[in-house]
Amino acid sequence: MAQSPFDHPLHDWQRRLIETLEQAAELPVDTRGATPFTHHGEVGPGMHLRRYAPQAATGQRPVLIVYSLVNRPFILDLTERRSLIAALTRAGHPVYLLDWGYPKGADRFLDLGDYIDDFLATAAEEVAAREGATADLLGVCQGGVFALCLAALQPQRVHRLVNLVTPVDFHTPGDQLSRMAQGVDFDQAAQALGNVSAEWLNSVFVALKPYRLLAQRYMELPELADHPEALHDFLRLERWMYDSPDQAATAFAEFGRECYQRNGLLNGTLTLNGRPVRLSAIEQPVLNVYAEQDHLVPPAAARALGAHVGSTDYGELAFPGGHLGVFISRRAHAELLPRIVAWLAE
Amino acid sequence: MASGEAFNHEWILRMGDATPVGVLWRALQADGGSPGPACDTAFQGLRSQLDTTLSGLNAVATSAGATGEDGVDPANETPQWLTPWLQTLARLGPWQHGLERTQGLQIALDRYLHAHVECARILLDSVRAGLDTLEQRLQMAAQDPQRPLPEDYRTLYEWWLTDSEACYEQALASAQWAEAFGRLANATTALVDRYQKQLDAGLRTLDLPNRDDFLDTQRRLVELERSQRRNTPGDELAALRDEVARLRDEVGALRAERTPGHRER
Repeated sequence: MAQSPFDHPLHDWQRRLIETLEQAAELPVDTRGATPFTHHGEVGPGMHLRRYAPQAATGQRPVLIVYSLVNRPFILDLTERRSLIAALTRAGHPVYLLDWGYPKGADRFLDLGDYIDDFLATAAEEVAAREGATADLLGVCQGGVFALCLAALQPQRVHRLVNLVTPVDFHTPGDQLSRMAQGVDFDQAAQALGNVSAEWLNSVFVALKPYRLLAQRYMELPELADHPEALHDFLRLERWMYDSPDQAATAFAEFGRECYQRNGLLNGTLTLNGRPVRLSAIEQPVLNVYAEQDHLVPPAAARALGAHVGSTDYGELAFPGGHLGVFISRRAHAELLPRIVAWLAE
Repeated sequence: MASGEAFNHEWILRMGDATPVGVLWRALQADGGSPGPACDTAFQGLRSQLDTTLSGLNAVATSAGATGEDGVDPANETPQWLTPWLQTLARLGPWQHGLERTQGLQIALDRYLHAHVECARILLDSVRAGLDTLEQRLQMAAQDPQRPLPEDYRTLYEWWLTDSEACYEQALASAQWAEAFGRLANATTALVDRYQKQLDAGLRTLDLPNRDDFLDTQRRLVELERSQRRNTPGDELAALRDEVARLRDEVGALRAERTPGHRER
């Protein structure tokens, strides 16, 4: 056999990579999340309302989590140690999660009005009926936009609002995703492609940070050899990153056109079922959480809410990290989530 | 399967050769840890690979009907002025629909290939810029004792990653990229649309259900579900009460008509 031209550290790295891959092959990866839940009805086609029981009977108000359509929500319940949902149930909140599911063929004709004015409103109504109290909404990313729309159009369904990394101004400098969206004919895409493929959308997200997501991420993989818990977390996150639903065509085109291209949420030109969404109509208390190094939702895009929301009880929390760090980083669980829980308990 | 069976020495060697950092690291080692002739050759080789890829893409775009500045297609020398004539001819005669579809598909394919090449060129340029930056950084470090050269693969990898990513993000932030990306996305969906139209026409000829038929059914289903969802139970009950009252009135009127007294009148 020929002499290797590589030095020993490189050999070591490659051997550790092999060991890690072999260990990874033995680990199961499930996407249900770490916290047990019960199904509490179907609020739309394939859309289920999950209930996570409070771990203490403290009489806290229910929290309805509104997740983005783009990925699956198990990032909020990745492991027992890194679970936003568990943090809320530990604080005594009954937690509900609207699982949007995976759109099927006919769902291509569902629009934002269907998603927000109908399905989300029904979910909020169900929670209020079951718990005897109007829910606090916790909107995540695009789900935060949905929560804002519901709070503006059907204020009786929302007690208070927590938004995590939620874009409001889609035209801020440095918003790379928005810049790329400006020239896209979303309606033509919806008509030709139908429900927009998750693989296609993922490739766009990956293309924003290909060196980090396709190179650096795996370069560090060998460091997880013989750390089964960390490797398991890595695999779960890996599954989450690419376990994405297709996007219902009409709603996707509407969001791209009205929010990304026309900045309609900020300008007040976004309409649902013929009714304009006015941020100034939101009078509930709002806590707006943004990430300082967010490459998907720049801080300015999220913070724009403060200048436009009607609420006089508006607060912000800045998190020193990236988009995902808000949900899964140790720092978020040690510092950020306790502050959110405390705000909800006020 | 044991490691030794699954991944042997050969695999490790090939893996190193397959990545630019692997190639550069080997060159740096051959130069004794400081950039020299082997590194020059390695950088040149990587740039040549980019040039080869780009020229291949350009060839595809050219064969797809790129036109030169003089308006003449360099591949088949078809004058550009002839295109409108060909399009007009396709609108005459019994096969005009099929010809128009075929021409539309060809045009969409050309636009897609051009848009693809335009995006690829921007990205390849950013890769080249990343290599240039890395080479300069290595040379500057070699001349400056205050800046240590990479002593292990991992450090070289970090240098490559940082420089390449910075150049990539610069390219992504440009208006040129945003426009090119938009054109590629739109050209892709337009091409898909053209293929769908061709396929739909063929299926219609065979009296088989096509995409239009499925979409029509799906649209009706969603509209029906939406109208049911938005008719609240209260509205439905009121509508039913109105309907029952109307039917009662109608039945009463009919009975009245059938009574003997009514006939006499």
